[in-house]
Amino acid sequence: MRIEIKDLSKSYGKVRALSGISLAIEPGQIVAVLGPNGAGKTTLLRCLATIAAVDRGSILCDEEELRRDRIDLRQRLFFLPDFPLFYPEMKLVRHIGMVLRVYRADAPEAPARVLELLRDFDLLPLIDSGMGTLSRGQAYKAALCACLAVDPELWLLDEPFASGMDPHGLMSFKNRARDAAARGHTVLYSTQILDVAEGFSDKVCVIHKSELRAFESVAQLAEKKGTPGNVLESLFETLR
Amino acid sequence: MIPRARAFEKAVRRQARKLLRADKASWKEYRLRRRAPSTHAPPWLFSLILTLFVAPLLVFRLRDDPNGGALIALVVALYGTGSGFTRAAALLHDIRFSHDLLVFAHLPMSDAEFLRMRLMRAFRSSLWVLSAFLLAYIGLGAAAGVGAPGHLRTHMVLFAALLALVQWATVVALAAVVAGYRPGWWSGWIGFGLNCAAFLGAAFPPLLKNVTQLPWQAVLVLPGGWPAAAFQRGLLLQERDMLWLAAPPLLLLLFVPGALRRLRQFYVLRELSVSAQGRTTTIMAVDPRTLQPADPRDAARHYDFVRAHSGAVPAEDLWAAEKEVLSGRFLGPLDWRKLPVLERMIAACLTVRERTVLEFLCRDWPGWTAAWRNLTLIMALVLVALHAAPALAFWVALFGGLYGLSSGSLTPTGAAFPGLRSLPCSGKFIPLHALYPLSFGGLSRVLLSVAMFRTLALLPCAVLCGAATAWIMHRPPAQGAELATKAVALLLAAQPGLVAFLLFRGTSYAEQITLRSIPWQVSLLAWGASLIVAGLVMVMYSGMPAALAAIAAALLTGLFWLWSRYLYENGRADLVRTTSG
Repeated sequence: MRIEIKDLSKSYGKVRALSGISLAIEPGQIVAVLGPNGAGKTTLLRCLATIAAVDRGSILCDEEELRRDRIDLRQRLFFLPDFPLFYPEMKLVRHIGMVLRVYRADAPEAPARVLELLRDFDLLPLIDSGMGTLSRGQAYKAALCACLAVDPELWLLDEPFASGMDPHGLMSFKNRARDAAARGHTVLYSTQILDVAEGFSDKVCVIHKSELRAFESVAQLAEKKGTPGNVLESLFETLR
Repeated sequence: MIPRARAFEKAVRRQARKLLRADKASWKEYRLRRRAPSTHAPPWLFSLILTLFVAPLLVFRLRDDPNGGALIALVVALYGTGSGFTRAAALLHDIRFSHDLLVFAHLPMSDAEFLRMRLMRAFRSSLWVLSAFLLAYIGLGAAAGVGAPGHLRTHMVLFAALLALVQWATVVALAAVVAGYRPGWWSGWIGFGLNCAAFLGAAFPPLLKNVTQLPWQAVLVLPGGWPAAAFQRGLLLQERDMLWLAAPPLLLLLFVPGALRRLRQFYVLRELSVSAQGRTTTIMAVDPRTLQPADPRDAARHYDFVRAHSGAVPAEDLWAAEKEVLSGRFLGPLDWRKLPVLERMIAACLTVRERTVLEFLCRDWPGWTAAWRNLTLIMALVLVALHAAPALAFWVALFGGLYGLSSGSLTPTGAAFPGLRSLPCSGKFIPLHALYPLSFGGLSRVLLSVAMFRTLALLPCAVLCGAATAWIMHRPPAQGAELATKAVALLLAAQPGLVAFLLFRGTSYAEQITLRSIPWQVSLLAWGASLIVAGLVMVMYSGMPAALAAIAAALLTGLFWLWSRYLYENGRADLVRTTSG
């Protein structure tokens, strides 16, 4: 899915969360959204998920404008907040079933796919546990499994690397995201961990004080900088 | 009351401001982001409005009718007693389920200290009740003393203020004593019912006519009735020897230390499993005597990564889980043919997709048939009570009506749709349905179908009740049946607007007053006013005018729904909220 953001602005009262963001993400790209606390990373993801009302500008998905009433487009994206939302009383397997049905992704092959995901994320023995009884990492993994089972064309993930997932879960997530990108899916995630962004992204999108400061690959940033060393760390130092 | 270190705050603020001023950009950001004026209505606003409405009303009643003291004493007694019960319920809720529990549980603070903080907060919030009593009593004292010599008038006002203090002390003591016995939900409902009776009685005195005609001592049945009776007899009727009536309720204060001891005894904070309690709060106050030993199966159900990889999880458990997932049962819809009659009828009228949406909204199929059956039973009991004691018609109708409203019959407002509730997410609150590809139209269709069916299910019951009530009140049964039909018709006409309001409840439009939200809020008020006007027209007229009023209300409701849908689906409504609501 090709995403084009044009002149996107969003304020919460007097506070500007995003101002005039414009960028285009090609299908098959993994994009890390970086920025200091309060820069507007989560707001950008929320706008893309159509949860936050945009003040100005537009978002195009494959040349079509994304709005809340475009259910066809919204079924092709999945937003996973840093603290996933779910019914605490619902069993894990039912939660995944519910998500698949709401997304109309409950095809006959879905059970086998879900089983494979549950095995990979070590969630199999928890299928009949209430979502509210899971640890934070387990709950995130369960929500991620639902996302992966839906297999959306656009992944919107808020801080997946600070979600409490164990190293195996993080590894699985990365492998699956790369696999999805290879199939032309787009992955957009926010993070504060510069090493991760450097090694796990095709492009980085740096937001500072609600404005877009950079949208390039790490290699391009390094080339611009002209000196060796940790490019993103130096970039963040200049932002302060 | 939340502990504050004011001196510390002041010192840090002074230093920080000095540093910030040195940098223009930082100073600008600080000024922009520092405590934005709240656009939320303060919690005491409603109480203040009611007080400002009722107190002058009572004064005017006294000026219009010098013998209106009985009504005033009754209204004050009802409000005084009702406030005691509602404050007890609020206190218990605050100390058991408050969000602050989660905050302070992570700080080195003892349970007793936290409880003391809650009690102080409850005490401070009760000062609004004192202000209400002072306003009412002083106003009434001054009104009653018109024409009396100056010094006598001053004495009357002073005594009135003293009685207001006693009345407030009675409320506080009653709240503490009731809370000490840790009543269930009924405490809040009794208080709410008595307060409703007080406000309705102040606005429409004929409603309390039966009670005001009883001997004046009847008001002493209510704890809040003693100071009110002292005021009526001692000040309004100048029977000075009756002022002693204000003293006995102060005996309640003697029971307060015991009640507080009981509260302290049961006040133990425990972390409880969310699923077991069905709440999002994980730390609650529990009675240590009611704690059950932990179920070992719960612990066994928790998966341990290390155990699994060391082979400690029995292979047969994993095979069973695999079999369960592969069976695909978790993807299957609920078998609606096995559901009770009302749920079955609703499901039969929905498409497969709509049933999926309804399952998502409800989490499980709710007990609508059971609620309908219970309501029918309660209505039957109300009718029997009315027949047996017509003098109690007002009270039976009041408490029966409150139960009816609380039973969730008036879907969608009354029913709980868990899929619509807002949950905490990254420091904000987001309605659960917002994360899924569900449209305003799609959600509305399902909610409206449910609402229409449930309202229609209410129709035969309402018609029968209307006819029977009219017969008991010596009116033509057809008149009662007609009135009930009109009420249900108005309810039906209002449903699209209620659905729109329900979906907008989780948006910035319903929560904040901003330039952008004002037009929608005005349309909400206009819609509400149109319903009231249509209701009045339908009560006063029959035939064509009533039908036209219902049609006009339905049209306005439709317009409100369309306007809300336009805002919602075009992304104008911000679904991210700062409060859970």
